[in-house]
Amino acid sequence: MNRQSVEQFSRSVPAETVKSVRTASALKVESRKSALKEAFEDVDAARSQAAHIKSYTLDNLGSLLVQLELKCRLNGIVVHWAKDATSANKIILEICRAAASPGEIIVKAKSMATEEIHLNRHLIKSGYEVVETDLGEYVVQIDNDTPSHIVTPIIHKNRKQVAKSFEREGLGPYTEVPSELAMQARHHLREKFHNAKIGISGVNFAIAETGRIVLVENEGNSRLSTTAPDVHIAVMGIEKILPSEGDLPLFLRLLTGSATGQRITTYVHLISGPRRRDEQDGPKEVHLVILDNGRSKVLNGPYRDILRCIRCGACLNVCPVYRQASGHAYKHVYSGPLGAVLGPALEGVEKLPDLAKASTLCGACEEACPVKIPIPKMLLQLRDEAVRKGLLKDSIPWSTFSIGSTSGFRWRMGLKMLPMASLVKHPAKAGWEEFKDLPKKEGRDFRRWWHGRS
Amino acid sequence: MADREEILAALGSKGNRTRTPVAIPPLPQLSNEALWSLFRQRLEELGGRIATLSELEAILARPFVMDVESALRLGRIHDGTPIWDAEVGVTTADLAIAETGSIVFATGLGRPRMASLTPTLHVAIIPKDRIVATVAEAFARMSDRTTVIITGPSRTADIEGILVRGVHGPGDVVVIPV
Repeated sequence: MNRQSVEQFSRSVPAETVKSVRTASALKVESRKSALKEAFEDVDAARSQAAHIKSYTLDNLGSLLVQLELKCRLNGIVVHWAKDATSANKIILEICRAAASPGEIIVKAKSMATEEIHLNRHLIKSGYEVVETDLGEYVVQIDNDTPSHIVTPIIHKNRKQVAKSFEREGLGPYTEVPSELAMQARHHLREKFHNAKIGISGVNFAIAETGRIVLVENEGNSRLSTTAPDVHIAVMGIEKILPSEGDLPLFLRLLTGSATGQRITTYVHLISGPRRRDEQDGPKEVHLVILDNGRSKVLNGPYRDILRCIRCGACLNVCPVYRQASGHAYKHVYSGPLGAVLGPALEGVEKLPDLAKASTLCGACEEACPVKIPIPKMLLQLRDEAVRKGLLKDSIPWSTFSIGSTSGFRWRMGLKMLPMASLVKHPAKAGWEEFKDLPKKEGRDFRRWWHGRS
Repeated sequence: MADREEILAALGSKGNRTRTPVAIPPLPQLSNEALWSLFRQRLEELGGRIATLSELEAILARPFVMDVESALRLGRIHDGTPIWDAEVGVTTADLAIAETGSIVFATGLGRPRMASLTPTLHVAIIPKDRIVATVAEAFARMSDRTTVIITGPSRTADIEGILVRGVHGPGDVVVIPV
């Protein structure tokens, strides 16, 4: 990837998409603020508390995971460990092969971890019919697209685009009414839930103390995916763990408030294992796949704090770069400020060097973060790492500035010459001037006026 | 198991930081009546509603499924409708949460998981003394079995942020305090 590709990508984003993303993200910022203000007497203290619990969790990750494994086993949940995507995909495929023949249906609830390991591609290649069931994720799948937001995957699409896709897929007569589109999806996906042999989900929180898997959602597709089929497979990154159930009220409120502005999601599903002998429904097998995929490396490095992230998406919604460029610009499953750190942290700055520059360092992300992750600080660290490794160069205006500010003489000369900058045509200025005009020189210069004022 | 040992070795055992307990804000001291009034307000904000048992006869003219506790209370038995065909699901809740307008259900004998999920209308019966003020209080009293906290009708805002009810779960939620 060449440098500045986020910037280049943002120029190719259609005006319609920028408008969709801007409107939706601005609404989310307002609803987040009012939800958190209502929920906590002192929002800042609640965020500090959550950051503290997450730091504690990261400090004790090994022992908490072992505790989780034990408690899950007591609950009848089969625990698997996967060091990377290849291993996770292999484990999941083996579970699927034991439970269903190729050609049979696997329903999926929205999960960023499974996006990260490209699980769908893997299962489809092995002959399974894999169906995303979250409304937004379903649209992403039928359009052969990728999610552009970790919470609202089709924030970049409008109702007309969804309507055309549904008509093309034969879901029903053409309609642009969101409620009618949603009912077409409900009807179509009902059959899939009914016939699916396996359901795959992510994990919002896994509780070490009780061995419970916690899933939050609004649509009901996650509950259906994890209740109707005989086998449920949940995939979690190692950092999704919380020490105890007593931590949940705080985290549920922070996650939901920050993500959608609700007090609580429509469904909070606390899964304590497969159906027990006295029950008539629910999965007969529940598997939990604990995924590392680069996280333990991040834990021991300078970007450790990014693992506090609870995937609320608040930093995306407030970010001026995200709003202009939209999620696809980040070329990674995790977009926005979170993705600009987590992507390079997981995969190496060599693979995604320009993401460190996909930020104005305005600090809005840190201010919005419910677990107070110092994202701007880490973006600066990433820039530094990228420059030191020769992956990023300072732009000409900045390197000129850094040379010009090293001595008084150069600085004074520079100031004298600066008014001419707006007259000179130079390719180094083109990027800057695309969105901003350099001011024309007007009146006397300040220094001369200052010296001559008495 | 090679992956397990590799991951745990990479994580190390630095665990030595202590944690401060989560400060739980004092519970609002509300009467049972005030809690139900708050519950009603929250539920209605989300598009759910409160009803009385007398309305149930008309509702049960449609194909329904029912859990055992509700069947015993109402003196009716499940009419044999397969769960995927039921238009109405009647269940009795373990708890109601006033601050969020939520109802809590644990799985168990005679408590089908799908009854509150597949039908378009979910009717939740709940004895009036089973209400608590906050989510934190509900967690303190929760069953260790698989449990769901339900707050209002199923919803999505995936298309242009416009709210649509009933996308996969029930689009109508009716709560009957008894």
